[in-house]
Amino acid sequence: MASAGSGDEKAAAAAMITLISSDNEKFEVTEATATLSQTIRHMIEDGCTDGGVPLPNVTSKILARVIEYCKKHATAAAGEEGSSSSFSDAAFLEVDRAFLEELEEFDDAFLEVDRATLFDLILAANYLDIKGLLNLTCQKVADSVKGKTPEQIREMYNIVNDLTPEEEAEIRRETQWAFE
Amino acid sequence: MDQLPDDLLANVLRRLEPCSLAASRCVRKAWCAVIDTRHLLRTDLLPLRLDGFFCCGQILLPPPYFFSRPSTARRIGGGLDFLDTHDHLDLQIKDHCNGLLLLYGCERVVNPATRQWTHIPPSPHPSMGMEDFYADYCLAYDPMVSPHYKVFLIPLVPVTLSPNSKFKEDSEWPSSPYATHVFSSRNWRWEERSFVREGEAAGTIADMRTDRRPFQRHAIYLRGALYVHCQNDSVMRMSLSDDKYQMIKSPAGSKVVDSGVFYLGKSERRVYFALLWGDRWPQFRVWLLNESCGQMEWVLKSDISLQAVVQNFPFNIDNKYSSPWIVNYVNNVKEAQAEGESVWDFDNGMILETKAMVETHHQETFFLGFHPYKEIAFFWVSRTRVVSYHLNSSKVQELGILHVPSIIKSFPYTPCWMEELSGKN
Repeated sequence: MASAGSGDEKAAAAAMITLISSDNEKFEVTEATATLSQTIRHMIEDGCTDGGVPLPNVTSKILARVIEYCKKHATAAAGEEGSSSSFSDAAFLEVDRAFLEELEEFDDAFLEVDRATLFDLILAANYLDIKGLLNLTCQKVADSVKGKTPEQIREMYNIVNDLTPEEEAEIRRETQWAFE
Repeated sequence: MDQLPDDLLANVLRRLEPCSLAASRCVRKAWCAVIDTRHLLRTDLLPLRLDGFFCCGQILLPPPYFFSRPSTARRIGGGLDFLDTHDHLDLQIKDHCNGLLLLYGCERVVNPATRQWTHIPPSPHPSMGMEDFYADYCLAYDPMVSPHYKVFLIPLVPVTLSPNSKFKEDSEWPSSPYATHVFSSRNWRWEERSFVREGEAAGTIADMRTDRRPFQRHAIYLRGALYVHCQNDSVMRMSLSDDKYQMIKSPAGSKVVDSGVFYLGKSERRVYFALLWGDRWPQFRVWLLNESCGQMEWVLKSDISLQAVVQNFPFNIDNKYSSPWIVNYVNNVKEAQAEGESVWDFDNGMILETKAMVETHHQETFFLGFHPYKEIAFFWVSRTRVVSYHLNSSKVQELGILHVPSIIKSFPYTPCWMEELSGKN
């Protein structure tokens, strides 16, 4: 990935990896995009990616979204390394800042999905070991829980309460300070 | 959420603040198990235990005293000797909230438990026409909900209005909108913020000057609202979620109790107002703020005479007291014998008898504050001794000897052991 500067772009683009979803759809991606996933990076290092990488835990719908995320962030990573290694004056810092803002906007828009998709993305990010995506999606779920009552959380995520009223009262008593 | 394995559920939940974690424990068994087995909710770090009192004397006298049990004094930097200043003026406490202190000198925010501290940027100049409204500082921090703190600059009515002031003697006060400056540790800067009043003002600028004594006001931060004790003993409730405020009249009404001292405090996550007054024997009255249905109303909770307390705990300290608390800044604390003490049981105590024979004189009684989680009031009696008074059972017990020249401000201290004090980075 460190070689993905402007001069090496062609070489990087040449190294393509094929990802195969659980429903047998094939996705061609650059190595720089694919190696945002530690799982795939290790497979590449072990030289077992010929004929494509089967991902039996990820559907084509989710894989398409994951690739969308990786593409954007692979470009960002390349851009960052390029600028910080060669220049560090104010103009470039400004460019960096704008780029980070754009990336944040991308992430926000990327998370505008229904809950089922969000959980599928968490599972995929975990399986593919993509740290940034796992952080992003877990934080999104955590933010939705923040400040809610147990009842609101259950309702939001269709969770069946398996605690008896006595058990729930006891658990509440243990942290009485958190309840009005 | 059922499809997430425990590891991933934990990854989500560990991002939550203590309050949301406590709510999540009640959602279902699996959630409670994930939180408990991984120790995600660290209640032991939260300011849930009364560990002592900070007591401030007159300015230029010694730095604040930290009154606690000896074992606590060894753990907590109550003497503030870990700071980069030993100037007594720097060490004066402007405000406190849930284990954090805000000091006079260079706007230091300090956590005496973890011995962490940081400077916040200097407060901004007052806005146009408000130059002579010198400001009071209020610290708002609730680690159950957020690791970030805020500092509010609350304008105070000056003794005289300058000619270029935008207010006159008969202007209503507080104004609406009410302009304050707020520092937020999240954004790390001061910002101007205006609050709009709901309901009536407290009175006029002139009405606010009923201040008859060294004025030591307290502010309370509770459930996202800041309660500020105002100059005419009314309370301003500022709601931080919608930038509105309302005035709550003094529970004593318009009748000024000349020799009395009001104290705004909190206990059991409710707002209390106390009045200590009386000539021959001190009287103590407590009101509880009833906030149901948005109607702010003081409800009288206790009205007691402290005659028996004063009579039974005279200045003469020869008689025995149980497991004494100590004042931190006396250096021989370190030599205090290691006791097998854990937590002070405030529920003990005895009911005192009033004596017919007057043996002592009412030297001075000072209200130190409410227990933050129990209905107990603490007093400094006969200028030497600290006692707890259980408001429901009237049981009294002595905590120890606090032999200091004067106390003009005091508050109960609940240590917060959360590691990260938001600072500049």
